[in-house]
Amino acid sequence: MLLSIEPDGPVPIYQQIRDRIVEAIADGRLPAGSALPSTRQLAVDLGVNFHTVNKGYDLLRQEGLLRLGRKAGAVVRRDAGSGPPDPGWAQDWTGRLRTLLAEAAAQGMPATDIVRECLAATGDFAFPATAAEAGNGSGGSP
Amino acid sequence: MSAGSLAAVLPVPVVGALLSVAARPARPTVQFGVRVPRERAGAPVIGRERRAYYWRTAAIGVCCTAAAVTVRGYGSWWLPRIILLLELAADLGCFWVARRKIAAVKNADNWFAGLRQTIATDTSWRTDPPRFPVRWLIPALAVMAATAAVGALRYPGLPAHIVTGSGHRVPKSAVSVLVVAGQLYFTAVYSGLM
Repeated sequence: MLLSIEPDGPVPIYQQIRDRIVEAIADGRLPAGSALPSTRQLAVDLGVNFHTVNKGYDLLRQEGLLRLGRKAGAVVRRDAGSGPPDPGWAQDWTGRLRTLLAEAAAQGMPATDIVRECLAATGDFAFPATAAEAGNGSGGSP
Repeated sequence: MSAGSLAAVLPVPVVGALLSVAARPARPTVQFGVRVPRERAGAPVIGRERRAYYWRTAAIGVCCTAAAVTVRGYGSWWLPRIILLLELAADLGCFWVARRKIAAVKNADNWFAGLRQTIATDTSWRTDPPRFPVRWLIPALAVMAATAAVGALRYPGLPAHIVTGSGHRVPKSAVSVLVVAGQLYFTAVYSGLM
């Protein structure tokens, strides 16, 4: 997996690391069970502080996407085929989506454009075809 | 010129020549350790500093070689090495001067204004690194083993005098044998065997 960040970008580096890994899980490049580099290794490779990577990994752990162990290291815990999301996650996500939509509305973006952008973005990721498929997943969820 | 004095002097022009051309194979976007945008790779300051570095280090190499050849007659084995160290320091100084001048222009003109810098890493190199091709070592190991076997058969013992790394002939003793063993050790280290 090619992980790229913009050190001078407006988004914090730990957030960029978290976002790139989420995108890789979503598009199938990092299926459940995939190993990620240790925080120190990734920090060295990206030339950033170890605590920055640690913060990004910890966010992913809190979201249930990553499992951090002393022996196994950082391992992807779930992907699109691992079944329905954890309870409460959908509610949080809806709240964040509302904020994103509010930003678009405040900037004067038409609803049709928003829907078109959303549909275009869904083509980039490996969504389960149906709700039933999401419920019958056989991914790496523990 | 004896083999010993040649061995002492030769590193001076060799190192001088190598450092003189060291800046040539550099990537266009990293000049003297300064990262520059691709569009600025042909900036006048870069060309000027590359030429200046080349001529400065070449002049230093010529001067140091002349000095090393001159002092070799005084019999001090350490004088050419001192000159070699001075040459290295002077060449590093030239590198630092070129680096500082390019960085100064880069910062003054804000070369990265409007550009997005990205750092990318391939995580699979960490999580699934390619295995070292051990089989590729077989020919080299076979050559080394054959050489050692032929050497042991033809020369079962060390000669009465041993030539050390500095070119001196010394009588065989525990110390001189250890010196040769140390040279073999470093040869093995450099060969990647240890």
